[in-house]
Amino acid sequence: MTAEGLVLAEEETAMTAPEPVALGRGRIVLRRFLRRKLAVTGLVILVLMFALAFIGPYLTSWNYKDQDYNNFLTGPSATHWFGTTQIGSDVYAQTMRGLQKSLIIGLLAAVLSTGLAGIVGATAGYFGGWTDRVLMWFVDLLLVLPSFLILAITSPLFHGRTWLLFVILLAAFNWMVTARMVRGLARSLREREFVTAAEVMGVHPLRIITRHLLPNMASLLIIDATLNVGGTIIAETSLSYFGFGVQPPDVSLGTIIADGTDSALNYPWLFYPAGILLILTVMAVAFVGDGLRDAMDDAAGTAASTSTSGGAA
Amino acid sequence: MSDDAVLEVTDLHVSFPGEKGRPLAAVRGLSYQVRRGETLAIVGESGSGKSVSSMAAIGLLPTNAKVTGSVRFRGRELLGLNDKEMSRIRGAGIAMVFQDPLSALTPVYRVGEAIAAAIRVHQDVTSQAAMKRAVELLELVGIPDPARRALAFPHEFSGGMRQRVMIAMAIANDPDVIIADEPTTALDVTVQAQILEVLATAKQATGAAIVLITHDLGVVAGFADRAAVMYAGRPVETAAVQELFAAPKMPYTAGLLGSLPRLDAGRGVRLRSIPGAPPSLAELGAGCPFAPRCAFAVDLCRTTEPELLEIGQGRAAACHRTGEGLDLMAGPNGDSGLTDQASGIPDTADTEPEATSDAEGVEGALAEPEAPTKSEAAAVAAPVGVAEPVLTVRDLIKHHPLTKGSIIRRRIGTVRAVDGVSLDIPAGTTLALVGESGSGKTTTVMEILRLRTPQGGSISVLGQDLEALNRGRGVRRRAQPVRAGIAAVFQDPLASLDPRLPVGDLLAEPLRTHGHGKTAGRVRELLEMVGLEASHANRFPREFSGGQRQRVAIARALALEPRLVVLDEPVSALDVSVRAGILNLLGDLQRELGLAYLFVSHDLAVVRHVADRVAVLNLGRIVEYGDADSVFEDPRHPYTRALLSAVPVPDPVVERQRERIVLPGDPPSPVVLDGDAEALRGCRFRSRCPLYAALEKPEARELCESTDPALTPVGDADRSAACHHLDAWVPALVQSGTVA
Repeated sequence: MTAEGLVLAEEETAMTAPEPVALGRGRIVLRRFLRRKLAVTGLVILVLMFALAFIGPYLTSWNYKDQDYNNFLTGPSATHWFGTTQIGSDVYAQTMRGLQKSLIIGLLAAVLSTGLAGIVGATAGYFGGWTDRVLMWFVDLLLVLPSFLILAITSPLFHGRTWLLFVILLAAFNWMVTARMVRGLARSLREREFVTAAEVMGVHPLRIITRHLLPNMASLLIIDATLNVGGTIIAETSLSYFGFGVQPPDVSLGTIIADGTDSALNYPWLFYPAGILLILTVMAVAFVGDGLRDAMDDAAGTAASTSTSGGAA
Repeated sequence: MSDDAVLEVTDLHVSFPGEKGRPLAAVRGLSYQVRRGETLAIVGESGSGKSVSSMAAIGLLPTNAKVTGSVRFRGRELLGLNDKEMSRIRGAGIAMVFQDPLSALTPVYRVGEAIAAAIRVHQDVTSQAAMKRAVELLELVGIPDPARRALAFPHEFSGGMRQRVMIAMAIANDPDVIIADEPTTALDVTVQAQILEVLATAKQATGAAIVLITHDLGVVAGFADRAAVMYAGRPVETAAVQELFAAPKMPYTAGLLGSLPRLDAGRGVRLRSIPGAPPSLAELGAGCPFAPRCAFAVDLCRTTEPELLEIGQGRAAACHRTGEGLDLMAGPNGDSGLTDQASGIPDTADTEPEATSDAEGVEGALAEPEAPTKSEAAAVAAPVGVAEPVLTVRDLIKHHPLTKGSIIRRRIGTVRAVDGVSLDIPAGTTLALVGESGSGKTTTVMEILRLRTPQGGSISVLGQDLEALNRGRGVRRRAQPVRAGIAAVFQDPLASLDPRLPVGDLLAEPLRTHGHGKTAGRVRELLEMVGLEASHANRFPREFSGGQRQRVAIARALALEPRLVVLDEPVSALDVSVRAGILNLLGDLQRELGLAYLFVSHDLAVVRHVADRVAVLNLGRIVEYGDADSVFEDPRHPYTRALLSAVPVPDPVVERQRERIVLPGDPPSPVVLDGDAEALRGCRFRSRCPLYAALEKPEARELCESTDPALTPVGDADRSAACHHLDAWVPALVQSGTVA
C-alpha cells in the first residue's frame, strides 16, 4: 500500500467509522473540521508521519536488518543518522520500520475496536431483549477472559503470518468496555423522540443505528478511538516485550523503546527518536480526534453555548 | 406613585456576562409598583426577561448578574442588601411560588416540616406551634386531611397538590408580596383552575400583592388587575387588564391578542400571526426590538428604540406610533371584518380577521392570501360522513402491567392506559383528541403510529387492518405503503429532529426510506411549502427558532404526501406569538393537500380552532365524541363541561362573567391495582364528577356506582357521550361543584 493511499484510507475510516456515509452531513462536518487550525495541524503531522514511515527507509542505504560491524553503539553521524545499537543496527532505519508497524497497528486496531464496540453496543442497546442479553453475555465472557494469556498462547500460531492477524487480535480484546458504554447510551437514545420519529417513518432498524444512534454518540466514539491509538501502541509494545507480537528482527516503536529504556541516559539516541515519534503520533491523533468531535458538535450546535437562549428564562 | 405600594421597581436593568465579552441585557429598564391586594401580571414570551426581573427583585440571581436600578419594598431599598438581610425579607415580606413545585420542595422533608421550618425561620414560635400552623395552612389551600398529609413527602403529592403546598409555604409568614412565577404552566387545565382559586384565597387571607409572571394571556384576563407586557427585556405596554385587552396600544400586544386561538371563536378562523420569532438578546440592534416583526413599523422604528411613555391614567406604551390612533387589531391595511364569518362563529365582536402580513412568508409560497371563505370552509366540512375513513379505531385497548421489585418482579396491577377507544377520521378532516395528562392520548397515538397489532380492539389505517397487516411474512415490506400514507409531528421539534442531521438530510430521510432516489428537488419544494428557504437545507435544527423547527418537522411529515398526519401537541412547546403561524400553516396545508389530521392536544382553545370533530378522553375512555361546534357550544358530559369551563378566555369581560366548574381533586391515575375490583365498578369519573355529587336520588347515584356508562348517541346523529345522567344537568349544579 502506498503512503498516500494509506493516509487517504485512514482518513476515510476515521471519518466514516463513527459516522456513516451521509453526503450532506459529511460535507458540512468536513468543512467545519478544516476550519480548525489545531485539527488540521494534527492531520498534517499524521500525514507527514506516514510519509516518513514509508518514504524514510529509502533515504538511507541501511536496512533495518543490516548490522554494521564497524560501529557498535556509536552516536549520530553522517553514516548512521541516529547512531547505532549494541549490535550495530542502524537506529534510523529501525525507527522508520518501527514507525510503519506502530502506525498501522495502532490506528487500525483502534478504529477496528471502536467500530466493533459501536456496532455491538448500539445493536444490543437498540434492540434490547434477547439480542441485548446474548450480546452482553458475550461481552462479559470476553471481559473475564485473561486476554494477555490468550494472546500469549495463540501468538505462536500466528508466527510468520501477516501482522494483520495481530491487529485483529489486539482489537478483539479491547472493545468490550466501550461496547457496554455504547449500549447504555443507545438505550437512552432509543427513548428519544427522533428515534421514535424515524421508526414511525419506517426507517430500517440498522439504518436507525448507523444514522441516528452512532452519530449521536460520536463524541464518545471519537474520544475512545483517540485514546485507543495510544493504548494499542503501548499494548503492542508490552506484548512485543514479552516476545509476542512483533518479533525480532522486525521492530516496532514499542520494541525500540523497550530496548532503549535501559540505556536512555547513557546512549540517548537509542531511545529518543522512537520516543519522540510516538509522542508526536499520539498527539496528532488526539488533535484530529478533538477537531473531528468539535466539528461534529459544532455542526449540531451542541458545543456552541452562544445560542439563542441567552441567559434569560 | 401611591403611598401604599408595597413593591416598587424602578428602572431595573439586569445583564449577564455574554459569551463574547459583550454583556447580555436580559432586562432593560423595567418599572412597576404593586399595592396591597392587587395583582400585577408580567406577561411575556421566553427570553423576554419576565422571570429574571423578579428574581433580581428578590436577589436570587447568580452573582455574575449585574443588577442596577431600584427595588423598594415598603420603602426600603433591596438592591445592595447583603444576603443575610435579604433572607430576612425573602419568605417573610416577599414570598415566591415557582413553576415546578417538585424541584422547589426539598424531597427529604415532610411537607409539614418544610412549612413549619419556613415559619420558624421568620417567627419565634415552638416547633409544635409551627407544625399546628402548617396544618392550618394546608387546610386553607385545600389539601384534604391536612393533619395526615402534613406528614407526607413531596413525591407523594400530585403536581397540583404540591403547588398548593408551595402556596401554603408562601403565605406562611403573612407576606406583603407573593411573586408567582408561571405557577400553573406545568399543570392540567382543571388543576390550573383550582390553583388560581387557591391563589385568590391566599391573596384574600393575607391581603398580599401578587406579581404573577406568566405567558398565558387567558390567566391574565381572569386573574390580574394590571398587566405589564414585556418584550426583549423591556416593558412595552402597561395597563389595567380590561383596557389592555379591549384596546392594546402596542402592536406586539395587539399581535399577541390577535394570535391567540380562542375558545369562544369558531373553527377555521384565520389567526393573525406575528411573523418571525422573538429576538435573541445577543442580537439586539438600535431600533425597536419588535420592528422586524411589526406590521406598523416605519423608518423611525428601525433606528430609535421608543421609550415607555405614559399615555393615560396608569397606561403606558412603548411605540412611536401610539399617538396616531391606529387600529392595531385590524392590520395595517384596515382589512378587518372581511372574513370573520367563516363557519358558524358564535359572535364575539373581536374575532380575529386574517392578516395580510403573515408568518414567515408562508402565504406567498402557498399563494393563498385570502382567508377561508364560507364556501371553502364548507368544502372542507362536506366530506364528513361521505369520504372513506383514513383511520378507523374500534375498542382499542392498551394495558401495561405494573410491576414492583427489581430482582423478583411481581405484577401488582395494571395501567389501563387506553381502555376501549373508538375513532373515525374521514379523509380531509380533523379529529381532535382532547384530555388531561394520563388520559391516554399519547398512548392511543403511538398505538396507531407503530402499526402493530393492537392488544385489544382493531385499528385500520388507510383501509388496511393492522392485525391483517401484521400476520404472515414480510410485514416490514408490506407495511411500508401504509407508513408512507401516515406521518407524525411531535410536540417538541428539538426532540423529534435528530440534532446531528442537517435539515436537508432530515427531509430526505423519509424519501430515501421509501425508495425515492432523487431527493434534492423534493427537499427544496418541501421547505418552500412550509415557508422556509431552500438554503436552510444545510443548517442544523439548533440553528432555527422554535417555530421554524416545527416547520421543518411538518415538512418532513409531508415528504411522502401522506393522507393522514398525526399531530401530537404540535404547538404546545412553542412561544405564543409563533403558534398562530404554525396553526395557520397547518390549516393551509390541509386545504391544499386534502390532509386528514389527528390532532392531539390538551389545549382546548387550539382544538376549537382546528377541529372538525372532537373526542374527549378521560382515563383511557372517550367520554364525549362529536362535531366540534356542537361539542364546544353545548357540551353534554360533565367532564367536557368542566374542561371547557376551566380554560381561561383571553378576554377579561367574558372571563370574569363565565360560570366556572372547578373539578375537585387531581386527574385520577389509570393504574388499577390487582384485586381492586371496586376501582373498575361503575362510572370511573364519578370521584370528580360534579353531577354525581349533586344527584339527589339514591337510585340515580346507585346507577353511577354500579354501571359503567357506555358511549351512547346524544341528540343529533353524530354525537355521543358516556354518562347516565345526560339530561340531569341543571344550572344549579354549578355552585355545588366549585369548592375543591
